[in-house]
Amino acid sequence: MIVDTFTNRGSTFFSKLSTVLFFLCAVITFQGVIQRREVELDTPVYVHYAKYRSARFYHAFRNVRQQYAQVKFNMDADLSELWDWNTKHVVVYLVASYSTEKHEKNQVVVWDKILSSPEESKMFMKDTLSNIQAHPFNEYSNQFEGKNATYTLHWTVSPKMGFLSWGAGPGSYEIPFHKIITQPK
Amino acid sequence: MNYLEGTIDFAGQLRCQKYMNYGLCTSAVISYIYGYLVQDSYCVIKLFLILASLVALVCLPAWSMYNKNPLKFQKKKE
Repeated sequence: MIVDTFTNRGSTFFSKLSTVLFFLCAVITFQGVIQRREVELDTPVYVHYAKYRSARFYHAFRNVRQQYAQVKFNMDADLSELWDWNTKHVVVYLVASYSTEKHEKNQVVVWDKILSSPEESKMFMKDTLSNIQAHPFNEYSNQFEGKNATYTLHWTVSPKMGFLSWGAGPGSYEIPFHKIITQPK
Repeated sequence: MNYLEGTIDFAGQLRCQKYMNYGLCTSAVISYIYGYLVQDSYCVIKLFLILASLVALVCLPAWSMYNKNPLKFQKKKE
């Protein structure tokens, strides 16, 4: 005689539970994929200047005295449209792009922020300096002179369930690097 | 039979499976609708697990409604 015991029913129940749970997460995930949210920005970043000088960061990758750059910019970007019921947070970062003789494409993150709510995603900032402590902006050849960089706002949408998605705004005009004249140590 | 085994008869098994299937699918649909209304996908998973716990309470123990149709064996031929 085949008997159905408590453990048999428990095993069947958890098998069905995991199947339905997987299907539920898949539905939420692919709804996010199908209803992908986009944001169109026009000139979200206005860069005042990019300055550099010789400095030494003891926590940086190379603990030597070399040239570091800092950017001052305005930002007017509304990313609240990226939020839906499956959004966990949005990571926004400013990327400097320039070319050198040795490397055609150089991209450096100079500023970033993690947005945790749709209200926080409506960003309006004036005269903001890039955080050189978090992102030391250093050129590989240690020469910023004569180079121009464009600055682009990028963002990454982190969902609760599903896949990451990326986006970017249009780039700014080419901004030259200026040297800060300071007294040497 | 051992009481802790929680055995049920064949008709009870079919009924239990039916309750399990309908209960879990209904829980999933209700959770999805509620999560969409409150615009939080975490709520979908939380509410689904709560409702699934209720379904487990109904299906896992050997309630008396699963033991109403015991097998009737043939009488011994004299």
